[in-house]
Amino acid sequence: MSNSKIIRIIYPKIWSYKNFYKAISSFSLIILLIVALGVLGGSYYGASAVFEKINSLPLIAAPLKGYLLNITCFSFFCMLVLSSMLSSMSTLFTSKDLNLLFSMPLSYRDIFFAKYIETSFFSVTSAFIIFAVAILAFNNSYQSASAGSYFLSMIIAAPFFYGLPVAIGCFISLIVSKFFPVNQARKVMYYLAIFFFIFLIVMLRALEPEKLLSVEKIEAFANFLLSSNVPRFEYFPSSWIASAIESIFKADIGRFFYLNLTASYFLTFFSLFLCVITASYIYHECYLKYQQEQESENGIESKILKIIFDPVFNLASRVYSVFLKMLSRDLACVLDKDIKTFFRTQTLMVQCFMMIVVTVFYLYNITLMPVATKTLPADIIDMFSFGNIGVVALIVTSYAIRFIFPVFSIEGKAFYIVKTSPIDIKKYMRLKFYSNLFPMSFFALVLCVLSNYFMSSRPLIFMLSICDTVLFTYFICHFNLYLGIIFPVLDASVSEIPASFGGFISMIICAAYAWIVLILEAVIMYFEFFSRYNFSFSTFNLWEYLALFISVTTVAAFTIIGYKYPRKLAFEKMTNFYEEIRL
Amino acid sequence: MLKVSGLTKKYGDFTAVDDISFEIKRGEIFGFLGPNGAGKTTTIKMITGLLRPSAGGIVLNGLDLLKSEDNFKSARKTMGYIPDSPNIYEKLTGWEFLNFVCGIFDCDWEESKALALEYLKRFNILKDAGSLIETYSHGMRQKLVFTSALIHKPEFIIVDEPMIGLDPKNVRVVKEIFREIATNGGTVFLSTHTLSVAEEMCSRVAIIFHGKIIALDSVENLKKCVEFKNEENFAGKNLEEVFLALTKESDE
Repeated sequence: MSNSKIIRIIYPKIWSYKNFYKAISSFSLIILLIVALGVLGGSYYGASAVFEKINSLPLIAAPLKGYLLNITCFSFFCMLVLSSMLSSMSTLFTSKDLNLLFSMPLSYRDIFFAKYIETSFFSVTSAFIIFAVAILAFNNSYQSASAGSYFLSMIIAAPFFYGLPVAIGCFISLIVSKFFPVNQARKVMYYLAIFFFIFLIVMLRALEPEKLLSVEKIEAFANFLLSSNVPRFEYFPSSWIASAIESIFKADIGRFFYLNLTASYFLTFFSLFLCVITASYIYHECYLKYQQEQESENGIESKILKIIFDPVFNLASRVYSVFLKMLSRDLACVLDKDIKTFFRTQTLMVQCFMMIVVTVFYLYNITLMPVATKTLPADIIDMFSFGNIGVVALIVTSYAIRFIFPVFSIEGKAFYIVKTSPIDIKKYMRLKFYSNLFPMSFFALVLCVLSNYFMSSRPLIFMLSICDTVLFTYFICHFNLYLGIIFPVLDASVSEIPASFGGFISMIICAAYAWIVLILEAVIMYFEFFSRYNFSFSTFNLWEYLALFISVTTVAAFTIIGYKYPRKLAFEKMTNFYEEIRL
Repeated sequence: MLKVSGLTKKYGDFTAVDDISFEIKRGEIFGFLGPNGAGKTTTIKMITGLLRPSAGGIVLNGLDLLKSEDNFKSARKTMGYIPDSPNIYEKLTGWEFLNFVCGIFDCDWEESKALALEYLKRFNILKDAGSLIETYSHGMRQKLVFTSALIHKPEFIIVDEPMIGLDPKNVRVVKEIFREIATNGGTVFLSTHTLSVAEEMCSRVAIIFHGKIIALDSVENLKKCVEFKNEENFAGKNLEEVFLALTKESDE
């Protein structure tokens, strides 16, 4: 294996990243940095708060932290194996530079090793940063720990997490590709990963862990924890590295520390060796097999879906064609194209499915809360209902970022077709907006009505929630669509588009808008609250009425500015699209 | 049919297209030649409305395109644009894509379908028209873009590097189609690097270099002109020699 050749293969990737960041303006970089730091800081703050609570329970603090560290490493490890399996399928077989690399005088092992490093970087780095933050919070929760212990723990964890899960992932990909068609195998693994993930969430949530920590049961739980021998996956590699890290935090470096570390590293290097040897025998063969495969329209998922949903599809397509006939011919064609593209983009469908699961869990959680079981006073329920408006807005924002923000970027390089046609750009933009607004509004209203129904909200809060949801959804859809046009991402996959600079900006502004509106509407809540205790509206003074007026006017002003300005910019961007972007 | 006068495109201090003027008549196949970065694609994008000119005018079928958006919209109904890279909607099938293009040009699908069927047969991609475009090769996509640009029966076809990705058989089909369009009174604006195709097909060619048109005439007249200037016999030499002589001369 020639190191210099591997580095040469990787260099273009590094250069392209360097050029990408050079091309971004310093303002954009600063914003991205602030957002990233905000996310990491928030994660650290949340984890530290949990540890603070745990440390306040001296009976169980030490074993509980040990279990938590073990579970964190275990989950992180499983997640990395899964993501390595998926991303190695792309980097090893579908990457665009492979044709060029295989035509060069390079050994297959060198190419594989370069691709292994690429997979490792892509599938581990971002998760590892979050892991580093969690470990920092763990470290700070131990009295004997110091900055040195943190860095030492990260140094021993990095080779393990960058090595073993990726080696396992690549090994599985190679073996699967040897015996099955690569495209089909990739799809099967993708769906398996999703079902596994959903199954995990369902199982964890159905356990109702909050019951474990209820006040009356904590002592029993502590006794159970201390007296029982809870399984710690002793033969699982992530437990070895977790034990080693725990030893560092506890400043208890002994025989077991070295044993755990040796076992972890030995397995990592052995897996890597096995993976490279396997690759040197079958990688090129698998790659050639993939090259010969024709992506089939009738893939395995299409066949399954066809059998299950054929009658439903037939009925839906009849209703759909009647609906299309109600539109003008040009708009109907654009809408039809957008809908077909949406339903045929695997990533969007998977995200849609995941989002529905998350929403169902949100509603399920509400039914379990004391507000829904009516064990809290009415005023507290009102506060929860009011806060729920903000949560609904955040859920809608997260949906809009995934589904509405990328709408124009998906069109991207093929936009010249629309631009050189007689279709009116304003009409085209309006169609894009309303075709996204209606499904999103339907979803948001269902979420709002059901959550308020479960909380048994009072009529005023119920009405306020509905009005706000309509307002927020309109604003959020509007903003995401137009920011997606202003900041298009043309060379990224659909799943990467929301993580772009424009996506961040859109998310921040939509969330800020929702919270500003809620803060301003707190004045309405204040009036409602006092009127309940025999204060009639006539008893409020002029200043209070002025506050109400200002809050309502500011909400209206924010909405109008947020509505008008991005639309104008988006229209200008569409008109001058080819002035800025060379395609 | 098309009259371009004083057309200029500036990007800051850089002038991509510098005050070019030409006129193309109905029934003509007009070649637009030039080295890489000379300004061919920029000119095409200005004519199709993808770029806004810094100065100058474009008149198509008597409609001043830069005067109003409505003029552009009307002109686009009679225009077919084939870009150099066939970026199309990958999640549609070939037929769905053609139906989509037909819809946005507001033409009758039944009529266009018959025309599409004929072109798909000629390009030998009829059997693949029901498959998703993401499964198509570069050449198949290019042929589908050709079909989509022709199904609304445009009078004016503007083509940027048409032969990229096409095999010799399909190059011949494209040439036949262009000739048919010109014979039926249509006009073809052909930007290409394939000088043999330009020499064979075009009644006149314009050579653009560093944003300026340095020559505009029939191939025969251009040869005579270069002969006269260089005092060299160009008889029997092809357009490539003329092109190289002209661009070398301008560079000096």
